[in-house]
This record gives sequence, structure tokens and C-alpha cells, in this order.
Amino acid sequence: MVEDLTVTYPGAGRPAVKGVSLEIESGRTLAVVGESGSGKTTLALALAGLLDRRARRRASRLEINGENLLAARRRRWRQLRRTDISFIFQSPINSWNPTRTMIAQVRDAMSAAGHAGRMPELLDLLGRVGFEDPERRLADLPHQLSGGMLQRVSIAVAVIIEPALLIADEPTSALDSTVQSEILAILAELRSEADLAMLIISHDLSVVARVADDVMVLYGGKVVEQGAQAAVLGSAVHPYTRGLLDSVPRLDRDRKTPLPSMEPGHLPAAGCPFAPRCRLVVDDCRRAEPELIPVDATLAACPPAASSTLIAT
Amino acid sequence: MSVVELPATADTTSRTRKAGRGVVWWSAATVVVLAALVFIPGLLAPGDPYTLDIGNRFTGPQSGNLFGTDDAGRDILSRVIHGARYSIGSAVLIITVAVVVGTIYGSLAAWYGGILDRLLMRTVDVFLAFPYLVFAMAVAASLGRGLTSTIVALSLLWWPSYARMIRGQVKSILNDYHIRAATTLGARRGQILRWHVIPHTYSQLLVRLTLDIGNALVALTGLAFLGLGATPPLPEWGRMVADSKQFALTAWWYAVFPGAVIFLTVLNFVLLGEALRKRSTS
Amino acid sequence: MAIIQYPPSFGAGRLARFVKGVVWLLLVVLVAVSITFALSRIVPADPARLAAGLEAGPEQVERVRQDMGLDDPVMVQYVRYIAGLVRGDFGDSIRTRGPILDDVVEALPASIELIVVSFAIFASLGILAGIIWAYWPRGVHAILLRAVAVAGSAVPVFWVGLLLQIVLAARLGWFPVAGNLNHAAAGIAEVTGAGLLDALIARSPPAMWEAARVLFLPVMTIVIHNIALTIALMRSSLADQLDREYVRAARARGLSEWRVVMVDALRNALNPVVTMLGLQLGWLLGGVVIVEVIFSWPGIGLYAFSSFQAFDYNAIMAITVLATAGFVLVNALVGQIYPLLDPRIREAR
Repeated sequence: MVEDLTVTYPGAGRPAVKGVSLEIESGRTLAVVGESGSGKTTLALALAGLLDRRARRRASRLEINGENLLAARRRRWRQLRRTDISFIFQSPINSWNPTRTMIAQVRDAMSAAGHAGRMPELLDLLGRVGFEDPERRLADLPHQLSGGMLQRVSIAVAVIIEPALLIADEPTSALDSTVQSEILAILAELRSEADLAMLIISHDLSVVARVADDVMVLYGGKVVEQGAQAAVLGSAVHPYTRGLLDSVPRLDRDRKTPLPSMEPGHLPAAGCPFAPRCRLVVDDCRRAEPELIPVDATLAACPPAASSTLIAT
Repeated sequence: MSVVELPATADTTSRTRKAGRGVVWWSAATVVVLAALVFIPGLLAPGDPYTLDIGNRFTGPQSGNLFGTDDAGRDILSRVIHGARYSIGSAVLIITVAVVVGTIYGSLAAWYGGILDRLLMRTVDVFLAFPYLVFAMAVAASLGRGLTSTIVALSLLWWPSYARMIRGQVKSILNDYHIRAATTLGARRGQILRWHVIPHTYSQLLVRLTLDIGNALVALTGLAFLGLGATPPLPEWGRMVADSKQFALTAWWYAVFPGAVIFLTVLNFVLLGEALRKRSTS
Repeated sequence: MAIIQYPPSFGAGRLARFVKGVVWLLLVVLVAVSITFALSRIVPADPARLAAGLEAGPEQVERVRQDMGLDDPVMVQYVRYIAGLVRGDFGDSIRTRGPILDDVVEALPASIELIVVSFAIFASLGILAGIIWAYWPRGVHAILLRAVAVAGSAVPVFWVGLLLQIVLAARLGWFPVAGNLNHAAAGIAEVTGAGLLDALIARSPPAMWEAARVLFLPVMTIVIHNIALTIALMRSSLADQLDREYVRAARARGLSEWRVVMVDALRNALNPVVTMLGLQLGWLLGGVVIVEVIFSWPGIGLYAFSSFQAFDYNAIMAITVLATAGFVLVNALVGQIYPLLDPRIREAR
């Protein structure tokens, strides 16, 4: 769990992640949703101690398995990544050194984790997740395997150490849609078997709907809405979340007004980061950054939306 | 979904960019000074570069001769200033010839493609497989002493690398979408080349040119140091260092100042080139 | 100059590649010979006149001209020269009047010693410094390394050599001003001609010390200039690899920093550095001329210099041929290293 996490990159005006708090119990899956640049990857990296050396991290609490990691050194983080934290990256082809065979890299990872003797088990696991003929195919170089195959290896290597926390950063968005759903099924299955806490990052609400127990929506580095999956996807309060939901194409109804798009550029220096694109914007939004407040079944950082919901009920 | 791409950190390098701009201005100012040395050395030099004054030979740096005097009593500062014309001028000339020949050659290869392209580029490969300094020495030595033969030798060696670079650029640009678009819109090929292809190659070429003027200066003065370049009494910089060699142990300033001027000039072109490269990529 | 891709290859098979390489080598050498030959025929100096000596009369010069075959048509001379080359005959030197091959063989060990020692030093130190700079990009050392990289690439070799000579040899007297190891004075036998190696064979520490002392300044001169490129390229290449996602992924799998940087990233980063080192080794064949002239190092460079001075065109052409062949060979050998570093190339072949 983490409380009030802020990460700043040097030279950037705004923090990439600002005041984010979250807690995942083992056996549950939290999905973090947001568009590119919303800080979701930075958040994930911070939780695995993988931030760029230049990045500045502040938090009031940072714990895994009850261990306080605020002052943990790089060595301790490395140790944790060998035993307690696993990470699955977005691009399977970029997750592996292009000039070394898969088997060499998998062996490296296994011996780093102290599981050098468990290679047969890993091969079994690979077979189970649909990686056929692992002994032979692992002798290949990464570019000789498909994205789906590579991601299966990543998942197997991540899960075999039986981590307390599994972080998956857009694990399926670089894959074809049929492969996507296979990978999601594998992830869900392994997650339920291993009783670990999972953080999945995605911009794809259909992915979130399939695997998440809880959902957190990030915009401009801030949490704008969070709550149980059904609540957030079913009765979102924040205009950004509503915009995201409305822009999902559906067969059963017409598309509503999509989110007003925005030129890539700066987020506002003060106030609600979403203000420039918001339909409900009022003057206060541009002045103070809104806090998360309970509205209906979720927490949302949008006073105007909250008040209108209250009036409506 | 209408996901909008927002760069995570838009303005990360404002400080380094500002520093880079400083280097550009400083180097550009130096280039102006160097140009002045090339074009109007007579107005800038304190004395005449050729006047012999045997009674005043080997005087160290002093108020009348800031860089000291050489073995014939000539003022080294004046010689260095007048020498800019021969050293920098030749370097610029070499690169100019190389660029012009290389651009025509490379564009032809890229434009026509096919067998002609392969033939032309294989020739370039042969030239690039020469050990360039040895080859330049051999050519310069074969042509006889003198600045001209050095310039010919180095031009002969320099154009192929430009030919290859220009060919690569023109080729990639010809495959670019907006060229295809222009062709579909019915623009003539010549117009395309003039308005779309050539301007695109400028920025990379500029970086390369800046760095290469420095490289050519090093090569040219190196050949002159071996006696394969300007002949006495021309105050070419490499030649001056060569002449100083036999007196290096007694008259240090004779070797130090002309060499330092070469070094600082090349350094200036290197820094300018690097700064331009950074700007063109950011 | 631009990075050379050797050889422009296609097709498959080890033998085919070898044959292609040999044909390429011969082609490049032939073009080099032809250009130098053509140019040497427009030399203003008259070789016969030089060979006959200053006090020779017109008749003697004419006789020498006939002896040397200089009165034959140019094409005949050209074919004759090429035929000689094929037999391994580079002709006689006008200056030393002996077979050029003998002169070259005598001068070669000293040059090879100088080149090999310098290359080993600047390649290893440059790679090491580049790694350090890439991994710790901030700090005093980074500023220092940047200064070395920029200044070293801009500084003229001959000027550095002269400065070192003036300061370290003439003023401070720490090193000899010029010349190679005197085998007799050091009390060792001349086996290979390379001082350091001969001292090693003779197992004589004082001679080794002396050999190292004479080598120091020429080697320093070469290293200062060449290390700049190695450092800069190693840094940018490794920094680029360290930014890649696979490095972060390897860290995420708990690999030690040593393995991530020195095994995964470094291996990929070395490829362009190896290319450049191969080219630099080739360029040293030319660069060594200047250094040998400054320090009167009795190698092939000094021999070349004397030949240029004397318009000894047979020697000039021989050196061009040998240097070109050496350069092409070095690049061919470097080409053999890539597949070891990047198995994707191996597989593509």
C-alpha cells in the first residue's frame, strides 16, 4: 500500500504523479485507468522501485507485506523484485534483450531470483499457459517469437516466484485482440490460484471490466475517481470517467458526445487538471485542486459533479 | 476510444537548450572573426607576415610580437592571421568541392536507382575503403608539393562520403509520404527535387559541414606538417608547425601558438557542429 | 569520414563470402594502385633524374631512364608494374636503391609495436571510460570526460606530439626526445625488431623499462587523439541501450546491476564501437606517419615520409598498396566480430 505518493521528473513543471494513495489486498486486482501521460506507468514503476534515477519520489507511506520501504535502498528493492514484486511490461518484444536467446535470459532471471533449480517447473508452467514446445522455442531469439508467446514467457517468469504483488503495465495493449483475451484469461487464472495482489494498468475499459475488482482513474497524475469496479464502470460521477465510458463504442446505443479532445501540451498549472476539457467546469475548478469526496458508491474529485448528483437524488 | 496523446514531460530540457544556444552564438561569433581573418587579414595583423628581420629572430612573446618571432625574425602573430586564408580557406574549399560533387553524384544515384545506382555506389564503396590519410599523402606526394595538390588530394577523398549521405537522404525522402502526395498532385519531378527534397537535407548537411570543415583543417594541416602542402614562405598553419619542429626544443612559442590556433579553430567547429546537431534533433 | 560497411554483402555461404571478400580486396587495391600510378605519371619531378643523381649528365639520365623502363609507353609500364605486384615484387626504391619489400619488412615491426600498444591502450581505456560516463552521467568525472572527448577529437596530432616532446622530454627530461630502443645499449638481442617484445624474450626488466620509456610519448600522442572518439561513442551507444525497455525489464526481474549493464546492455552497445575501432585501427596506418616523424620512430611511417620527400614513387605506391590492403583486411576482420556480438546478423547470413 502507498499513501500520498508524488513523483516528479526534473525539468517538468507538474509532478507526473501527485498525491496518489492506494492499497491492494492479496487476492484482489486493482485497475489503474487513464490516458497516455496520466502518470499510470510512473505510478507502477514507483511501486516496484524502478523509477528513473533522476525522478524524485515522495510519499508518506510505502509498504509491501507490511514492510516500510520509504527508505529502502536500491539493493533492498532488487531483493524485493526477486522474491515479492513482479512486473509485466507493455511491449513484449521490448521486454527482452534482442541479441540474447530467450533461454539465456530466462535462466538469468531464474538464477537471480534464486530459483535456478526450478527450470523444469517453469517449462511446465509455460506449457500450461499455451507456450508450446518450450525446450525448443526458448532457444530462439526474441524477434523469432510472436508477441503473444513472449508475453506468456514474461508472465510465467513473473508468476513463478510467487510474488506478493504482480504489476502488469498494459500487458495486452500491444497484442492482437484474440491474443489479448487469451493473455487476460491466463492472468486472471494465475492470479486466482496464487492469491497475490495485482495492479493492472490499462486504458482499455473492456480489459478493466474483465479482470479488476477495484478501479482507479488517473488524470494528469491525480486520482480523479476510485471505487469498486461495478460502481465506477456502472455509475461514474467524475466527468472524465463518464467521458471515457461514453466513448466506448457500443452496439446497443448511439455514441454520446465524445470527450472534447485536446492538443497535446500543458496541463493547467493550478486547479483541476481536467478543467480545460470539462463540461461541468466552474470558476472554482481553476483555482483549487479538488479533493476526493465520497459520492454515491465511489470517491470522486469533482465538487460540481458531486453537488449535482446530490441534488438529483 | 478517443484517447488523447499527451507528452508526459513536455518541457524537460529548457536549461540544456539554453546552454546550447549560448554555444551556438559564441561559436558563430568566432566563425565571423575567422571569416574576417580570411578576408581582411591585412587590416587585422599588426605587421607584415613576410618581412624578414634576422637580427630579431627567436624572440619570445613580448609586447611587439605577442606570439614571438620565428627563425627568420618574422612576427608569428601576423603570420598566423595571414595564414587563416590558406588554412581555413583551403579547408572550406575542400569541403565545398566535396559537397558539390557528392550532392550531384548522390542525387543522380538516388534519383535513377537501378543499375546506375549500384554502379555509382560501388565506386563510392571503393573510395571509402581507402585508408584516407595514406592515400591523401600518396596523391599529394605524386602531384608534387604545394597547397593545390593537397586540396586536390583531400577533395578527391572527401566527396564519396557526401555522395553516400546525400544518396541516403534523397532516397528516404523520395519514399516519404508528402513527396508521393506531391507526385500524385502532378508536380513535375524537377520541382519536387527543388522544393521538397533539397531543403530537407539542409539541416543534417549543415551539421556535417560544420564538423567536416574542422576535420578537413586537421587533415590539411597534418599533410602540411609532413611537408605535403603549402610551400614556404606561405604562412599556412600546418606548415608553420612543421617549420617549428626543428626549433621546438629552443623556441617553444614557435610550435605552441600556430598549433594552438589550429586546435582552437577546430574545437570551435566541433562545438558549433555538436550544438547544431542537438538543436536539429530536439 | 563515413562508417564503412564491409563488404557490401549478399548471398550465402562461407566460401562465397570469402571469395567475395578477396575479390573486393583486390578491386580496392587495384583502384588505389591505378590512381596513384596515373598520378605518378604527371609528377613534375623526373624519377630518372632523381635516380641518376645530381651530378649526372643528360646521357646518364637517359641511360637510367632506359634501365628503369621509363621510356616505354605508360600502359606498358602499368602492366609491367601490376605484373610485378602479382609476383610480390614492389620494385626497387630510388632512394635506398634496394628492393622496397626489404625496406618495408625491416621497418614494419617498430610500427606494428607502436600501433598495437597504442590501440590496446586507447581501446580498453576508452571503452572503460565510456561505460563509466554512460552509467554515471553526472559529476566531476563526466565533465572531465566530456572535455577529453571534445578536446581530444579537435586537437591536431602533430601539435600534441610536439607539446609532449617539448614539455615531458625536453624540459622535464622524463622521456627520451626521440628514437627507438637501442638494442645493443640495452643489452638484448634483436629478434623481432619490436623493442618491448625483444626485451620480453630476453627476460630483461631494465630493457623492458627502457622500451616502455621510449614508447611512452608516441603512444600517448596517438592515445590522446584516438581515445576521444572511443569514449564519446561508447558513452552514447551504452546510454542509448540503458534507456531501452529491456534494461528496465531485466532490472524488474531482479537481475544485478552488473549483469544488466555489463552483460545485457554492454554487449549490444559494443557493436558500433567495434566498427569505429576497426576504422580507427585502419586510420592509424596513416596517422602513425605523423607520430613517427615527430619522434623519429624508425617505422613504416618514417619510411613513407622519407619516400614522399624524395618523390620515390615506387616506394610511395608500395606503401599505398600495403596500407590499402591492410585497411581492407582490418575491416574484414572487424566484420567477423559482429555476428559474435549480435546473433541476428549470424542468422541473417
